[in-house]
Amino acid sequence: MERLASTLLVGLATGCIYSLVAIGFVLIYKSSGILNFAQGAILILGAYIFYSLSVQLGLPLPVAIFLALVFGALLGYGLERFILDRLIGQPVLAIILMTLAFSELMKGAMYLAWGTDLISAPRLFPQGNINFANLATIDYSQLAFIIITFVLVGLFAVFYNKTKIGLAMKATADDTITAANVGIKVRKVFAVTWIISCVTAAAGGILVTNVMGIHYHVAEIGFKAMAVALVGGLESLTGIIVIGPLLGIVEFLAAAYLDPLVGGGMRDLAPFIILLIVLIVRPYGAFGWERIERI
Amino acid sequence: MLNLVNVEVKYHEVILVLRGVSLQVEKGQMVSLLGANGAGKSTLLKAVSGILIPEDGKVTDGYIEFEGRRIDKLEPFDVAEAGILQVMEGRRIFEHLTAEENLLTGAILHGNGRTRQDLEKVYAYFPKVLQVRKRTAGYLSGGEQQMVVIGRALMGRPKMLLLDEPSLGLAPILIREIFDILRNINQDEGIGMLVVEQNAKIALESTQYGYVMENGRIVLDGPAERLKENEDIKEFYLGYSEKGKKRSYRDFKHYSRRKRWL
Amino acid sequence: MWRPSGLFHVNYRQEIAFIQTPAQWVCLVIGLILAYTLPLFMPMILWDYLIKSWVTIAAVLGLTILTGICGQISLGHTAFMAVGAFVGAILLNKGVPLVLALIAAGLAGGLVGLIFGLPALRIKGFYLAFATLAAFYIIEFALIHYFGGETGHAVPPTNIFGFHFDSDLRIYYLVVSVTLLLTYCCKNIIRCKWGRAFVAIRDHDIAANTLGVNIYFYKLMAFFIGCFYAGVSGLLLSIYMGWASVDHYPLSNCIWYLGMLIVGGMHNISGAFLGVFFILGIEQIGIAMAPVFAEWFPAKAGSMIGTVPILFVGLTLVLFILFEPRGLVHRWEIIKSSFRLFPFSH
Repeated sequence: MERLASTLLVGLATGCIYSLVAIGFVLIYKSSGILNFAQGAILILGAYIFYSLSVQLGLPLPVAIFLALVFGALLGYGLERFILDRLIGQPVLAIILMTLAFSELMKGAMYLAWGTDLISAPRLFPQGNINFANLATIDYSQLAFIIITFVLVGLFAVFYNKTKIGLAMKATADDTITAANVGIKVRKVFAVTWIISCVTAAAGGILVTNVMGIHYHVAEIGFKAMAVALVGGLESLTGIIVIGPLLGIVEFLAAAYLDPLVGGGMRDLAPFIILLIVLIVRPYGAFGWERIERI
Repeated sequence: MLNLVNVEVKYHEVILVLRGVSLQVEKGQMVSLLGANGAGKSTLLKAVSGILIPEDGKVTDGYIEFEGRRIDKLEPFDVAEAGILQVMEGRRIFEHLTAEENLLTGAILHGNGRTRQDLEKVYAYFPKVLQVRKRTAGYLSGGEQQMVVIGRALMGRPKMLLLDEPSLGLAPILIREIFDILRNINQDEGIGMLVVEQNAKIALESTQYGYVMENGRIVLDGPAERLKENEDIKEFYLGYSEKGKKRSYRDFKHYSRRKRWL
Repeated sequence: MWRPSGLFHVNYRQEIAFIQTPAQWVCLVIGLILAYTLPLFMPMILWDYLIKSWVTIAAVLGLTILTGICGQISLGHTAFMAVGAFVGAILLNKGVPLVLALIAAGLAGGLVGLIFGLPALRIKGFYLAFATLAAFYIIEFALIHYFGGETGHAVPPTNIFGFHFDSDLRIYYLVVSVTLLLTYCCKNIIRCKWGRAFVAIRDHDIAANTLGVNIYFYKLMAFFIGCFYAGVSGLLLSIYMGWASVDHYPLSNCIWYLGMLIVGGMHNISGAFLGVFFILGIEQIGIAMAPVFAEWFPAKAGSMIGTVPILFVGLTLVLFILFEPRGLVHRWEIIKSSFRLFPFSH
């Protein structure tokens, strides 16, 4: 019983990170129709930069985190300025491939710069765990995941729903040309979108590598976040916040209870199996807007 | 106020759509632009508001001036800032936002300030929108959507409105209502309007001046009164033919009156 | 297809013939001769590049049919190659003759492709791309855990009726012959009813459905054919490497294959050829340049060999998508037509 509860909590915590990264992904898709397959690469790049700043350059941890996030923001802005223009209106394949190729490029660069060994990240959270009335234990770091995700998502929700820029983002996501027509600076909205996405990805990367260590393989979390986005439906932000932790829980449950049966590896596989099943039952994700096609 | 001089517009660098169009809209004037499908009316509006750019169109000759300033090469945002707002064809509304949020997107252009008052003003002009303001815009009826779209443009405090076929797909009684409101707005606020319409009757009754376009050229223009009396307009656009005249085959063969000004 | 004026067809057979002008015959003959004699001109160092290119062409042809002609984006192509390789290796180890093993490899790849193509009946575009990614992970998992994929399978030396493929040169001939055969089949598929159905589905599947094209059948067939090609190609690669293992079929290759489609030109066979030769050529240049980079950055010398080719290819891909998304074929067509139409521009 305690094992079950611990598994649930770990899954919940990891799923929160998925949600965080998935929000960035969906934001970019909603506003500009671009599928940012490079989200995972940005995630791990943020972690590497944080490592360089804190360990190799010796900066204090909060400064390193802040600068890594600033780097994420700059990266987002750069991507928007130099790559986005060309991609709007292109066929889906070109868009997918551009971001995929870009992630491969970043992978090569990261191998070059930081090597291919697993690096351990500087500890952000105290060791040890909390015991909940002898029902379950949870590491401090996992608790931090959950809390930080809630705070960031909450901030974002307020931003998206209550501010002018949030309204501009919603309008641009709905119909870009009309938004330009109405006087919204669409370029600025895109820039803000990409900056938010890259910063959340970098933040997610810094958090997750604290537990998993820093290595390019962690970028696969990007794919899992995309799976979350798809299962939730690419247009729905509420969907992601719900589905992320759910998928995390399923993943860890599968690992705990199915791994012995199939010899390991279920953790990476479970999200994809769930994705296939959900897509076959509800082709546009659990909360997605159905596409109405007219001939 | 708005001055198009010999404007030529090409799409994809090869398709010539506007062939030397000249058109003026005076301050506070309501002008209609008539013509059949494919004449180039929407393109003219898009050339003014800058939306040609995403559609790979360009003004290749001539120029467009607004209050003395050239606007033909500007981005849509800059044109909107200069004071020209377009109400696009087909009621392009933000479907997933509520009606009120739609109106508020129009206010983004001017930052903070009198947004509350602007909203009240729009609701005063369009009481129907006040009733449905909390509903998701995609589910509103055509007439309500058209009102929301016009209201959204008003929220941007324009000096001039470009309206692309506001009567498209609406019931006649609604068309009348909307055009009455447009006339009120024009008279009370002094906002100039360029109305592209296929419904020549309502356009000529509501506006003061009219242009007729065909195949990318202006072929006729004049005060709305005179256009209404013009024989060609009456036959081609208003549906009247000479009373009592039997249509004889001879007329067809000799093309005595064809719908083509050369 | 552009044909010169003055070409008059008297019956339908002439209309749909492969080769329509004497010039095309000449090109075909020269091309075939070149294909078979290329290794004799090239230094032995490049034979690896040649063999890998032809093997990849077989796989990318499958992807051309699936993604370029039928419009179903597939991010998991190398998984189907692995399936073919494993099935083929297992059969070869049991003594099955090479030709049968190749066909079986193709069928295995095709069937698995068909199964994982079922989602294509319900979802499109990005959702489908991601479903194929999921397919990649699932297949890889299955191969590793149930088919001995951790270590892989050794591939025994092969022969056809006594002609042993024991040297690189002979393996080259095997690969070229199989790929040319596959190319011929591919061209046939594209120009016949199935090809037209695929194109209709790519352009607008709902409209095609209303016109009577059975989109469910043809989508599945596109997956089958595309993955059949992948399976054969996978087995060819394993024969060359002597070993069938999942390491030979990583996810990044899927990306490169799609990149080859885009760089070459998505919609036709020449595009596949051009894309493969070009991208693998860039990779070779990267490998050749790695020592140069190692000199510039001595601290990282060890990792240069692995990363410089990736950087080169990735950069090429990004530049092509930015500036020439319709590929080399398109650029070639523009060059040809500007010569033809000189001095007019279009």
